[in-house]
Amino acid sequence: MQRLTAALVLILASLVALPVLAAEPVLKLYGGANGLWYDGQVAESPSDFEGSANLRASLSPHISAVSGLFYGVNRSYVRGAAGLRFTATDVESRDFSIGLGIQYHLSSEASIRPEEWAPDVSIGWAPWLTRQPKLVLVAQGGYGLDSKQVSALVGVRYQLWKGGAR
Amino acid sequence: MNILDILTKGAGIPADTVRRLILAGAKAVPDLADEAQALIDKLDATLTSEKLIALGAEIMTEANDIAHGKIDPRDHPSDAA
Repeated sequence: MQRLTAALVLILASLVALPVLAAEPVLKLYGGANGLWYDGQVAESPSDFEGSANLRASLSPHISAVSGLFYGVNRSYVRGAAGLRFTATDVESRDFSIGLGIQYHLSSEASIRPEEWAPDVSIGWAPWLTRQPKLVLVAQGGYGLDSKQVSALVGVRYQLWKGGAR
Repeated sequence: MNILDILTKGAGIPADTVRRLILAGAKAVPDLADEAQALIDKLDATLTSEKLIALGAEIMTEANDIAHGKIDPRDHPSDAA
Protein backbone atom coordinates (compact mmCIF):
# COMPACT_ATOMS: atom_id res chain seq x y z
CA MET A 1 0.00 0.00 0.00
CA GLN A 2 2.88 2.36 0.80
CA ARG A 3 4.42 1.70 -2.61
CA LEU A 4 1.08 2.35 -4.29
CA THR A 5 0.72 5.59 -2.39
CA ALA A 6 4.27 6.58 -3.37
CA ALA A 7 3.52 5.84 -7.03
CA LEU A 8 0.36 7.95 -6.86
CA VAL A 9 2.20 10.82 -5.18
CA LEU A 10 4.86 10.66 -7.92
CA ILE A 11 2.24 10.77 -10.67
CA LEU A 12 0.35 13.64 -9.07
CA ALA A 13 3.60 15.51 -8.41
CA SER A 14 4.47 15.23 -12.10
CA LEU A 15 1.10 16.77 -12.92
CA VAL A 16 2.08 19.83 -10.92
CA ALA A 17 5.86 20.07 -11.07
CA LEU A 18 6.99 18.98 -14.54
CA PRO A 19 4.83 21.36 -16.58
CA VAL A 20 6.84 24.36 -15.36
CA LEU A 21 9.68 23.04 -17.54
CA ALA A 22 7.64 23.34 -20.73
CA ALA A 23 7.31 26.28 -23.07
CA GLU A 24 3.75 25.28 -24.04
CA PRO A 25 0.86 24.70 -21.63
CA VAL A 26 0.74 21.04 -20.71
CA LEU A 27 -2.04 21.01 -18.13
CA LYS A 28 -5.70 20.79 -19.05
CA LEU A 29 -8.67 20.62 -16.71
CA TYR A 30 -11.94 19.18 -17.93
CA GLY A 31 -15.38 19.07 -16.37
CA GLY A 32 -17.88 16.53 -17.58
CA ALA A 33 -20.30 13.70 -17.10
CA ASN A 34 -20.26 10.03 -17.93
CA GLY A 35 -21.95 6.69 -17.46
CA LEU A 36 -19.98 3.84 -15.87
CA TRP A 37 -20.85 0.17 -16.22
CA TYR A 38 -19.18 -2.93 -14.79
CA ASP A 39 -19.30 -6.48 -16.02
CA GLY A 40 -18.62 -8.19 -12.68
CA GLN A 41 -16.72 -11.48 -12.73
CA VAL A 42 -16.11 -11.72 -8.97
CA ALA A 43 -18.17 -9.00 -7.34
CA GLU A 44 -21.01 -6.91 -8.71
CA SER A 45 -20.62 -3.18 -9.00
CA PRO A 46 -23.71 -1.19 -9.94
CA SER A 47 -23.66 1.15 -12.89
CA ASP A 48 -24.01 4.84 -12.22
CA PHE A 49 -24.06 8.28 -13.76
CA GLU A 50 -21.10 10.41 -12.67
CA GLY A 51 -20.03 14.02 -12.69
CA SER A 52 -16.29 14.36 -13.30
CA ALA A 53 -13.25 16.61 -13.12
CA ASN A 54 -10.20 15.43 -15.06
CA LEU A 55 -6.70 16.91 -14.98
CA ARG A 56 -4.04 15.78 -17.42
CA ALA A 57 -0.43 16.70 -18.13
CA SER A 58 0.92 15.97 -21.59
CA LEU A 59 4.62 15.43 -20.94
CA SER A 60 5.80 14.22 -24.36
CA PRO A 61 4.22 13.34 -27.73
CA HIS A 62 3.16 9.91 -26.44
CA ILE A 63 3.25 10.13 -22.62
CA SER A 64 0.65 11.81 -20.42
CA ALA A 65 -0.05 11.75 -16.70
CA VAL A 66 -3.80 11.64 -16.11
CA SER A 67 -6.09 11.91 -13.11
CA GLY A 68 -9.80 12.16 -12.45
CA LEU A 69 -12.25 12.79 -9.64
CA PHE A 70 -15.78 11.38 -10.04
CA TYR A 71 -19.01 11.72 -8.09
CA GLY A 72 -21.63 8.98 -8.42
CA VAL A 73 -24.99 10.68 -8.70
CA ASN A 74 -27.23 7.74 -7.74
CA ARG A 75 -25.14 6.27 -4.91
CA SER A 76 -23.37 9.39 -3.68
CA TYR A 77 -19.83 8.05 -3.77
CA VAL A 78 -16.58 9.75 -4.69
CA ARG A 79 -13.87 7.93 -6.58
CA GLY A 80 -10.53 9.01 -7.93
CA ALA A 81 -8.05 7.68 -10.45
CA ALA A 82 -4.50 8.62 -11.43
CA GLY A 83 -2.00 7.05 -13.77
CA LEU A 84 -0.16 7.16 -17.06
CA ARG A 85 -1.52 7.04 -20.62
CA PHE A 86 0.41 6.35 -23.82
CA THR A 87 -1.05 7.64 -27.08
CA ALA A 88 -1.12 4.86 -29.68
CA THR A 89 -2.44 6.89 -32.62
CA ASP A 90 -1.13 9.89 -34.59
CA VAL A 91 0.22 12.24 -31.92
CA GLU A 92 -0.41 15.31 -34.11
CA SER A 93 -4.13 14.62 -34.47
CA ARG A 94 -6.12 17.07 -32.36
CA ASP A 95 -9.55 15.60 -33.07
CA PHE A 96 -9.05 11.91 -32.38
CA SER A 97 -6.73 9.76 -30.32
CA ILE A 98 -6.51 6.44 -28.55
CA GLY A 99 -4.50 5.94 -25.39
CA LEU A 100 -3.30 2.77 -23.67
CA GLY A 101 -2.53 3.14 -19.99
CA ILE A 102 -2.94 2.17 -16.39
CA GLN A 103 -4.48 3.99 -13.43
CA TYR A 104 -4.83 3.37 -9.71
CA HIS A 105 -8.42 3.78 -8.53
CA LEU A 106 -9.46 5.03 -5.09
CA SER A 107 -12.99 5.09 -3.75
CA SER A 108 -15.07 6.27 -0.82
CA GLU A 109 -17.20 3.12 -1.24
CA ALA A 110 -14.77 0.28 -1.89
CA SER A 111 -17.61 -2.26 -1.81
CA ILE A 112 -19.06 -0.95 -5.06
CA ARG A 113 -16.05 0.80 -6.61
CA PRO A 114 -12.88 -1.31 -6.12
CA GLU A 115 -9.56 0.23 -5.09
CA GLU A 116 -7.02 -1.28 -7.46
CA TRP A 117 -4.76 -0.85 -10.46
CA ALA A 118 -6.60 -1.10 -13.76
CA PRO A 119 -5.11 -1.01 -17.27
CA ASP A 120 -7.37 0.78 -19.73
CA VAL A 121 -7.95 1.75 -23.35
CA SER A 122 -9.27 5.29 -23.87
CA ILE A 123 -10.73 7.01 -26.90
CA GLY A 124 -11.18 10.76 -27.29
CA TRP A 125 -13.01 12.39 -30.19
CA ALA A 126 -13.54 16.10 -30.78
CA PRO A 127 -16.13 16.01 -33.60
CA TRP A 128 -16.57 19.79 -33.82
CA LEU A 129 -12.96 20.89 -33.56
CA THR A 130 -13.52 24.26 -35.25
CA ARG A 131 -16.90 25.18 -33.72
CA GLN A 132 -16.52 23.53 -30.29
CA PRO A 133 -12.80 22.87 -29.80
CA LYS A 134 -13.19 22.37 -26.05
CA LEU A 135 -15.80 19.62 -26.32
CA VAL A 136 -14.57 16.02 -26.30
CA LEU A 137 -16.52 12.76 -26.43
CA VAL A 138 -14.76 9.99 -24.53
CA ALA A 139 -14.98 6.23 -24.05
CA GLN A 140 -12.87 3.97 -21.90
CA GLY A 141 -12.65 0.24 -21.31
CA GLY A 142 -10.74 -0.97 -18.25
CA TYR A 143 -9.89 -4.16 -16.38
CA GLY A 144 -9.43 -4.27 -12.60
CA LEU A 145 -6.40 -6.37 -11.74
CA ASP A 146 -7.74 -7.36 -8.29
CA SER A 147 -11.50 -7.44 -8.83
CA LYS A 148 -11.20 -9.04 -12.31
CA GLN A 149 -14.02 -6.76 -13.42
CA VAL A 150 -14.18 -5.04 -16.78
CA SER A 151 -15.59 -1.54 -16.87
CA ALA A 152 -16.91 0.68 -19.62
CA LEU A 153 -17.13 4.46 -19.40
CA VAL A 154 -18.81 6.69 -22.00
CA GLY A 155 -19.11 10.42 -21.52
CA VAL A 156 -18.51 14.00 -22.51
CA ARG A 157 -15.82 16.42 -21.31
CA TYR A 158 -15.48 20.19 -21.64
CA GLN A 159 -12.13 21.90 -21.26
CA LEU A 160 -12.36 24.42 -18.42
CA TRP A 161 -8.76 25.57 -18.18
CA LYS A 162 -5.31 25.04 -19.62
CA GLY A 163 -1.96 26.20 -18.34
CA GLY A 164 1.19 25.08 -16.62
CA ALA A 165 3.73 26.57 -18.99
CA ARG A 166 7.02 28.15 -17.98
CA MET B 1 -6.82 -7.22 -34.09
CA ASN B 2 -8.04 -3.67 -34.59
CA ILE B 3 -8.50 -0.87 -32.08
CA LEU B 4 -12.28 -1.31 -31.82
CA ASP B 5 -11.84 -5.01 -31.01
CA ILE B 6 -9.48 -4.18 -28.14
CA LEU B 7 -11.82 -1.55 -26.70
CA THR B 8 -15.00 -3.59 -27.03
CA LYS B 9 -13.48 -6.82 -25.69
CA GLY B 10 -12.40 -4.89 -22.60
CA ALA B 11 -15.88 -3.43 -22.19
CA GLY B 12 -17.69 -6.66 -23.07
CA ILE B 13 -19.65 -5.05 -25.91
CA PRO B 14 -19.78 -6.51 -29.46
CA ALA B 15 -17.81 -4.35 -31.92
CA ASP B 16 -20.69 -4.41 -34.42
CA THR B 17 -22.99 -2.94 -31.77
CA VAL B 18 -20.62 0.01 -31.37
CA ARG B 19 -20.44 0.49 -35.15
CA ARG B 20 -24.25 0.46 -35.41
CA LEU B 21 -24.49 2.88 -32.47
CA ILE B 22 -22.10 5.34 -34.14
CA LEU B 23 -23.98 5.10 -37.45
CA ALA B 24 -27.32 5.58 -35.66
CA GLY B 25 -25.88 8.70 -34.06
CA ALA B 26 -24.80 9.95 -37.48
CA LYS B 27 -28.31 9.36 -38.83
CA ALA B 28 -29.78 11.37 -35.96
CA VAL B 29 -27.28 14.20 -36.46
CA PRO B 30 -26.65 14.39 -40.24
CA ASP B 31 -23.93 17.02 -39.71
CA LEU B 32 -21.86 14.26 -38.14
CA ALA B 33 -22.23 11.67 -40.92
CA ASP B 34 -18.77 12.23 -42.43
CA GLU B 35 -17.09 12.44 -39.03
CA ALA B 36 -18.83 9.28 -37.85
CA GLN B 37 -17.59 7.30 -40.85
CA ALA B 38 -14.09 8.70 -40.29
CA LEU B 39 -14.34 7.62 -36.65
CA ILE B 40 -15.31 4.07 -37.65
CA ASP B 41 -12.40 3.95 -40.12
CA LYS B 42 -10.00 5.04 -37.37
CA LEU B 43 -11.39 2.48 -34.93
CA ASP B 44 -11.06 -0.23 -37.58
CA ALA B 45 -7.37 0.56 -38.07
CA THR B 46 -5.22 -2.44 -37.29
CA LEU B 47 -3.03 -2.25 -34.22
CA THR B 48 -0.19 -4.60 -35.15
CA SER B 49 2.52 -5.93 -32.87
CA GLU B 50 5.02 -3.97 -34.98
CA LYS B 51 3.18 -0.74 -34.18
CA LEU B 52 3.13 -1.59 -30.46
CA ILE B 53 6.86 -2.37 -30.48
CA ALA B 54 7.56 0.93 -32.25
CA LEU B 55 5.37 2.70 -29.67
CA GLY B 56 7.34 1.08 -26.86
CA ALA B 57 10.62 2.32 -28.35
CA GLU B 58 9.26 5.86 -28.68
CA ILE B 59 7.99 5.79 -25.10
CA MET B 60 11.43 4.78 -23.80
CA THR B 61 13.07 7.66 -25.69
CA GLU B 62 10.47 10.15 -24.48
CA ALA B 63 10.69 8.93 -20.88
CA ASN B 64 14.42 9.66 -21.05
CA ASP B 65 13.66 13.15 -22.40
CA ILE B 66 11.22 13.79 -19.55
CA ALA B 67 13.80 12.62 -17.01
CA HIS B 68 16.15 15.23 -18.48
CA GLY B 69 13.55 17.96 -18.16
CA LYS B 70 12.53 18.10 -21.82
CA ILE B 71 8.75 18.47 -21.88
CA ASP B 72 7.06 18.41 -25.30
CA PRO B 73 3.26 18.47 -24.90
CA ARG B 74 0.56 17.55 -27.44
CA ASP B 75 -3.24 17.78 -27.56
CA HIS B 76 -4.68 14.30 -27.14
CA PRO B 77 -8.49 14.09 -26.82
CA SER B 78 -8.16 10.64 -25.18
CA ASP B 79 -6.36 12.23 -22.21
CA ALA B 80 -9.73 13.72 -21.20
CA ALA B 81 -11.27 10.28 -20.51
